[in-house]
Amino acid sequence: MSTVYAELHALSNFSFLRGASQPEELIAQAKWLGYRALALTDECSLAGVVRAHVAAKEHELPLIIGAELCTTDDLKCVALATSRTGYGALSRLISRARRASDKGSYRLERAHLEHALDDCLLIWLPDAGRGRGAAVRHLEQGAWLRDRYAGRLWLGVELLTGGRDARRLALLAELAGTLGIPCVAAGDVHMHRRGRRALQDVMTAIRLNVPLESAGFALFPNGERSLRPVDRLRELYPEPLIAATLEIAERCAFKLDELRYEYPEEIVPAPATPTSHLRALTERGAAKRWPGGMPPGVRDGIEHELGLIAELAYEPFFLTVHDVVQFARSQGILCQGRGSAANSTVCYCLEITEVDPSRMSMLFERFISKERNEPPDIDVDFEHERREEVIQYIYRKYGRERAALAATVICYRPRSALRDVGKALGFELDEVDRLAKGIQWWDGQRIDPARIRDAGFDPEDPRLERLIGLATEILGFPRHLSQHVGGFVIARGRLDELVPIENAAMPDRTVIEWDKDDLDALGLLKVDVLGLGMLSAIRRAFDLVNAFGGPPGARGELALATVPAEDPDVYAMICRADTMGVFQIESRAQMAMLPRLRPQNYYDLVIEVAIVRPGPIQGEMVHPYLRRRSGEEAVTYPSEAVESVLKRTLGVPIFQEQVMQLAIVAAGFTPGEADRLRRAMAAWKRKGGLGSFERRLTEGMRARGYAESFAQQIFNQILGFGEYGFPESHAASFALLVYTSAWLKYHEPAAFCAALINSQPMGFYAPAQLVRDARAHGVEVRPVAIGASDWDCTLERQDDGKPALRLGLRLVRRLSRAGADRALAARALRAFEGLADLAERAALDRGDLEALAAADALAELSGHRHRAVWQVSGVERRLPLLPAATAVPEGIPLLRAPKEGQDIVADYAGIGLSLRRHPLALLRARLARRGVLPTRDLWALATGKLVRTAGLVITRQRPGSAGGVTFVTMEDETGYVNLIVWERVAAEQRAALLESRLLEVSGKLQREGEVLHVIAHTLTDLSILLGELTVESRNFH
Amino acid sequence: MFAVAEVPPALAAAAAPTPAAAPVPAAAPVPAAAPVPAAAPVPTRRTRLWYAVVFPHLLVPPSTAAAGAPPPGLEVLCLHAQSFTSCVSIEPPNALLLEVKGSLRLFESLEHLHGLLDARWQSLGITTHSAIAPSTLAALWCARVGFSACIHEPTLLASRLASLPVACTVWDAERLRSLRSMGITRLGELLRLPRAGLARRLGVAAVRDLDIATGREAEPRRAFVARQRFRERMDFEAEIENVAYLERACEPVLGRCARFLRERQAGVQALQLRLRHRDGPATLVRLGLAGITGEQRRLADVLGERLARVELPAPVRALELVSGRLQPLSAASLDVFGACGRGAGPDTAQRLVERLRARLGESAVYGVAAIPDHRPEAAWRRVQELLLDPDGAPLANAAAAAVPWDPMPRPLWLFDMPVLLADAKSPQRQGWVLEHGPERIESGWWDGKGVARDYYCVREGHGGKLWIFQERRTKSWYLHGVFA
Repeated sequence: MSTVYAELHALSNFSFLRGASQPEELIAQAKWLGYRALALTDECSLAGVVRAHVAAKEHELPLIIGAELCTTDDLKCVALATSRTGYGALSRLISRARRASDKGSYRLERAHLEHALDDCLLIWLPDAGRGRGAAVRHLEQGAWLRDRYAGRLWLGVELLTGGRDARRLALLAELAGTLGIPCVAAGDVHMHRRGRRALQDVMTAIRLNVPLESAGFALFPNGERSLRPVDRLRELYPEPLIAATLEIAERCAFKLDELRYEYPEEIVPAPATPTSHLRALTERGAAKRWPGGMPPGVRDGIEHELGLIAELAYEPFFLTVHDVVQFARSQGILCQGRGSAANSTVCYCLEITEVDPSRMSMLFERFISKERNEPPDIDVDFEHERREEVIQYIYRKYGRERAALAATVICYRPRSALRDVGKALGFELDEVDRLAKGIQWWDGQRIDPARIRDAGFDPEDPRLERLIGLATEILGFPRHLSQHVGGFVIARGRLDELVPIENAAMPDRTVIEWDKDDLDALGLLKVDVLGLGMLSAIRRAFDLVNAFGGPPGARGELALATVPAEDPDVYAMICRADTMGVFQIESRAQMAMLPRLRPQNYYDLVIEVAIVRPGPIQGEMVHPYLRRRSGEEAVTYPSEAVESVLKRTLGVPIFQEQVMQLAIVAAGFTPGEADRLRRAMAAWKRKGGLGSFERRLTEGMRARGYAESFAQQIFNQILGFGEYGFPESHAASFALLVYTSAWLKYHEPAAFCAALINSQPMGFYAPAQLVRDARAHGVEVRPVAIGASDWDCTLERQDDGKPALRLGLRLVRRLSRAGADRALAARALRAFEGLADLAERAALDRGDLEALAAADALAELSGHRHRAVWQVSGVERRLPLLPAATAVPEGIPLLRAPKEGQDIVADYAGIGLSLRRHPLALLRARLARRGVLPTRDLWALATGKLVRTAGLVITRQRPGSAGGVTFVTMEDETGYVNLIVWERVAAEQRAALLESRLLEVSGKLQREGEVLHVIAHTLTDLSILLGELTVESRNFH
Repeated sequence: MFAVAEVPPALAAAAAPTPAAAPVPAAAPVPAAAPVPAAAPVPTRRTRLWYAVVFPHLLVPPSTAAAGAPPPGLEVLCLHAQSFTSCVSIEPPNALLLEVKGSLRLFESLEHLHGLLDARWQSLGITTHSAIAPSTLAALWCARVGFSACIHEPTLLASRLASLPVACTVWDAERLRSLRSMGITRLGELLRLPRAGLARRLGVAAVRDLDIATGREAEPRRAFVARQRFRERMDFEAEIENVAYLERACEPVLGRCARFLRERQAGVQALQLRLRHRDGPATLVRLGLAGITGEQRRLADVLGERLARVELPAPVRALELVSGRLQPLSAASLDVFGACGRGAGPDTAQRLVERLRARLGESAVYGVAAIPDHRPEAAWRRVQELLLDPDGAPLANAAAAAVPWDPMPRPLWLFDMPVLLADAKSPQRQGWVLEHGPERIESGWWDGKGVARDYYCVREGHGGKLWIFQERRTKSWYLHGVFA
């Protein structure tokens, strides 16, 4: 029997909280049921079409692109694109309706349908009303549509076993007869199979924000809104209505593959061509980079690259990125490109990157590949606090019709799933909260019944079983679209004819409906405009150093390009793992690696950045590399071809590019296949599907004479890499920032620390640790003081001419920026004479004054902290009619000066750090009685010894790659100690692990060279001692 | 039924009401129903002595804590305390305050009384902290921090309080934080500070607290009044064997009950009559009313109807009338109360329902509310309250209530349980004529009573119209309703 039906009205879960199936599921099910075609018609959205398109290609099922539209006066129809023009018109209409409304909703006037949907077919869906009023309405709507869409309008008949199907069919047939338009069958599909009925009900309840039992008739009465077997449809619908579906399907020949991306034109000034313009810019840049003339080889490299770029017509892309980077430079915004194409000589000449290719000669192998024909990859990092300026520049330059951010699809995760589904199932709010809170950030993407039990519920209770089942089912369902961190799509023509554009939550932002995977799948190009905190910090450090009078030895302006290269002292510091605050290599895992890898040059840093990643760790490449590096193991290669790929990493594949090249040289993959392998690597954890590659790889390698074991090893490494393999091209750019920040830390520790604090939040460590570290490196740190501090941390000249770090008002908790600015402006006029003067001239309210007093920033005006607090709390609260708070003249009573413990506690509360002793120094005697060792003493002990130590918990980390291990860093007055908490210990002592501020740990000491760990056995929450410290003097004797 | 016995009406009238037993064993008689004037301030004189007791482990349900109501456990403890002094006040969330100066003459010394009070809690197995002081707050603050002080003289207050941590004041966190940041941790430090400056910083209320605690200012306390219910017991001189006599014997107590309610502008929705016999268990008669009322005649009517159906197992020696929870009267019922009219309107219907219920049983008469639910059996619900006003039922969600499609007609008669049609009676074999359908209903999985059925309207041979369905899973046929 030939297939006879095409479904023309199907919603996926990209009609958020309506459709209960993934687009891929709809496609697969439609294929399985033998449908001729399927139209994905999400509600005023094309967000799911790319996924459907990919799945449809795979299943060889024709996919029709369309959307369900409902106007403000309740005219409902499905529009289907027949051609590229029709698709563009539909996309444009959706953009218009979406832009006219808040994020996540749309507003479509009926008038917008006029002349808007050329080359689209329309299926009109009259409402379910009956009687005179409905008849009049139906006739009016139908006639209106018929007058505008004659010849491409159908009346959709959706029979859903509601009890009066026969009457409905007759009514609609009569209506169609009166209007003279044909009828067509459709299914109002909301799920791919009826088994999703419960989930669909739940989604309806979530959408309405009511429990299921109150959702009433808003729920569908049955599961008929699924893809139904063709035989059953034939029972339901008269033959002509079914035949009409095929007629429509045949007219909708448009495929997403027809979309072509066209680069913007205006980046090329007339009369130049993109090619000539890029060449001119490159030459100009080269002259600047190499004032004394290009080194040999560079000229050839440039010619080679330009040739390749011209051949692939990628000039506009490079020119676009160049344009954005030029804007940033003109504004003094630090930026740095990364990615395969970014490490080209052309990009170095265009100042997209500061990585000198002569330092990195081995990197060009993975430039842009002709065979792969994939868009070149350039991400540009900007200072995170100024990225918005760049984004708004792009909007200004290209307009909102042509430039928009890529979307990120926000999906249901365990917490949100439990919360929403729980509410729908009628769980009390506090129950839902308890359930959701039971799932921690580290529990990953699954709902573990054990966590449900921990939260005090019985996972076998039918109510809970339902909850867990449905919450698991909804995991990964899209919830809403958010904006991608910075992926910009810029088009030559109207972008909204390529993909619908909608409003983002942030004002002045628009996003397209597709995410980066969608763009990737269609080969569309995006420019990544990313924010990077370290760039902000580096720029600030440069500014501080330059303003202070330049580094000793007067080298002129300090900038990315002028930081002296390959300073051995800097590498020595890195080898000591003395890297707190340094980009990338400040994490505890990196710090543990540094003394073993001992980076000696720039390329070692590239390796260092890439090797401490889940990919190489799980692929078990770290130890072989270290052994080979230290000479414990001979460096061998199975063949010359492999040697060419792996020589720079001593025969061990570390970078993503190397794995792909191995597949090419050792297993005979074409570059295109290797690229597919890369994509599959990124996705196999989620989707699986590396099996065919494994066969291909092992067979290819065997045929080329490699041992079976080597093939298997390579494949295992690929598996281990998974999505976590780090590309060398990105590591190369990062390594430059690693070196620069390390150089600053070594040579300009005060400026570096100030810049880091001024760029918070960023990095691993809080200001408390950064300041402690700076002081340990001999930086004088001066306290926050209203008479001396600026908003930011600043440098002050010490008597010996060296810079001291003055903490800024930005550290003062609860101090308003506006209040601080007024105080600074008032101080600029003349110094404050006293508290009253400050309050009056800076018009500070009591909140700001209290914040300053709590921070001990008023010491010069009021004396010790207790007196300051007494004084500011006497300032009358600001009244609406009075211009400012006024201090009432009164004497200051006798108040005891704070004890050291009180001051430390107040310091932490006021500015988050203390320049006094470490809190644990005060508890040391008590800790010693418990047998707790200071962390410094651990270094004197032998490995394997059982020890007890304690510290403030600074960081907890549970990397997905570490097999459930949690890493904890603790701090005491003598230093830091790192804990390794195995999964079993973590599970058994979860509360102590997660909730302790002061943690005591008993465990086994493990020392490897300069790396020291404590393997935790017993964890004890000693936070109560800190609490006692807070209240020590309040104890009642 | 017992034979009619001679009961002189005077007997019933002479039966004096006796105070009901207090709900907890109490040494001194505490009249539960005695109309203690609510909100009577305890008269304050110059030297009063206060015993404060804190129950640190008392669980306070968050709902009552939020509403500011004393937790139920505390009320019971209060009744214990009332055996020592009539003047007990509740200090939420977990403390009691007793004025003990008045009771002191009954005991040897203050310390002795202190010991006796503490022993009472101990005997109940409750952990407490307590203190006695000549000011309410001083006693409370000492008790809160577990300082078991026994301060006789107001002049000693300031010095004895000096060492207490300021947190004992349970002032709001903001105030305490502010004090902490000034380095003030003890009351002594606080008391040394200038009053004006302190008032500016902590507010006048805080300074007043300090004044009260140090005895500079007195503080009245409201005595606890037990929860109100009408409860009265009446012993008959002769046993009553006849229901009619019983009804008349009830009249005076019912009248007092009505007056009790009137005085409080309150009504009840339930009454309980306990009939005591010489031996054997008491007979319990429950009266439910359709609405809240305090009117004697309505109470009597319902009681009469209800008693008429009671079969006495033995003659009655005594009766006890206990009211349900007192509820405020609505304006409408007050109107009726005043006018005593028997006009038309909702009230008549309510009385009808009351009478019907009294005769047929509480559960025999109920209201019906429609519920938006696809399952026919879940689409309505019995309700005790009668919604006589058809527009009075608010619907939570308009989207949930609107019927968005064109449904099949629903029968007026729906069977409690669908009736399984034997195979031989399947619709096809019966030759029934299909009128509408199928209407597929698959819903309700969330409460464990999910259905998956195809419904049909059929006309049977005699012209009757039936509502039947086929279970989707088992393919069995059921009859679910009949059209009128």
